[in-house]
Amino acid sequence: MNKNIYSVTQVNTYIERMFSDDFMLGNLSLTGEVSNCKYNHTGHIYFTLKDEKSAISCVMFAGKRAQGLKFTMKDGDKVVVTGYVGVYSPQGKYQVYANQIELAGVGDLYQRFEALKQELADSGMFDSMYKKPLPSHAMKIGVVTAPTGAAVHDIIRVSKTRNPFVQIILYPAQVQGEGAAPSIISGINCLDSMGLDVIIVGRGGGSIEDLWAFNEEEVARAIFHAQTPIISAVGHETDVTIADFVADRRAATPSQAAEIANFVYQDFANQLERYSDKLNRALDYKIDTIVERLNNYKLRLQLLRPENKIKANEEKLSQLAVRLASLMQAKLDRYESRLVALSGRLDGLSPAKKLAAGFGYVTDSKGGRVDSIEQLKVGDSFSVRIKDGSIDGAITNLSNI
Amino acid sequence: MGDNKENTIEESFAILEDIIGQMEEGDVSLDQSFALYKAGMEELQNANAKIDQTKKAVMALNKEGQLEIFEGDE
Repeated sequence: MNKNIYSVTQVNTYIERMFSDDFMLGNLSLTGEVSNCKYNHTGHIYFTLKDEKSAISCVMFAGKRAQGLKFTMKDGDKVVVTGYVGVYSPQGKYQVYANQIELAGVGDLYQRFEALKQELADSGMFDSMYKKPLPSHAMKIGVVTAPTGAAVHDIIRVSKTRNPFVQIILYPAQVQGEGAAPSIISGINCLDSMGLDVIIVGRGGGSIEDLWAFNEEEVARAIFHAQTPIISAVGHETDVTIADFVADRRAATPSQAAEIANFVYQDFANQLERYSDKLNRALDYKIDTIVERLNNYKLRLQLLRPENKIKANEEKLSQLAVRLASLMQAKLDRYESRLVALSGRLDGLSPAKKLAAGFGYVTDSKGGRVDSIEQLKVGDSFSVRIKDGSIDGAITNLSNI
Repeated sequence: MGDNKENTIEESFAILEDIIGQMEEGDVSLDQSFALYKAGMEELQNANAKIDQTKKAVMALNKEGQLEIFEGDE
């Protein structure tokens, strides 16, 4: 017999290739209970999946965990593992290389979720035409959520910060577990009947099972039929429920729901203040404009008053009088100085002055002025007046010069 | 709610914008300005009166369906 002898590596490599060539082993999901679950320091998770009769080794590498594992897996968990079956040739072992691990039952829930979502979408319950607008200035806000936990406190805190005067009415609801859906529904119906401005329906984060009540059809219908606008606020950003689709508005978190529901009171007060200022300014401006025009008219009228005309004439008259007087004065002054000059000259011509200088004034016997020898004969008497008296005498001789 | 047609705050704001717009146009008379001013101030009062400015305790419905102060609100 021509019997080949193979090395261990050759055999394991052969088996490895068979596994990797197999279509079914390349991508499968299998369910079982977790045991021997070990979190390796490198981040890999090693565990065994078993059912009543059998067991298989599994590994989830660290790199797959972020996407593939959303819960903390522990021994005893019933899970569905999706991945491939491969051979670990150093040990000649085959094992499941997991890409995704979900709690068993979650898959069912997800299917139910998708089915209901489709059904309600088809029935038109998510249509935007049914979405009620939220009030811009809500003063009464209803909240359907658990009375304990972060959600209710976040809603109250954010609401009061935005509007310290808001009235919050809480319906303390059971938001998870048996009876959660009826509790939420009765909360919605109860607050809806109170004539509030808006209702927040929600809860904080949790597993898909924890949030499940918000995926129940009856809850969706209660939200849809409410007359009051409803904001859904379930879990975290990434959690999406049927309630979110049917609500008038979806908030990513309870805090965000409170932000959406409440206006900022200070903004409102500031807006009123601005309007008040604008009204006052507009009226002041109007009045100022009119007062200015009145003043302008007043000024123009004043200028046109008859008294002003008379006053103006009087002023002109008095100016003229002043001018006249000054002209007159100038003229008089001129005459006066001429007079002074003339009198000076006249003074020079005065006979008395001449006499004072040693001249004499000759008169004949009859007192007539003598200025030529022709007027006299020898023997005539004459008189000479000098400065301090007169000399009388008779002509003894006359001779021509 | 009274019998009078009440404006929402948004409507009040729109009315105020309109009134201010008219007042800021040059060609309104003084009488008109006063009338607009009065209407504007009334609208402001209306808007302000819409917000009841008293702080209110958070209320919770009890099992009997009655409102009581919510004690969880510290």
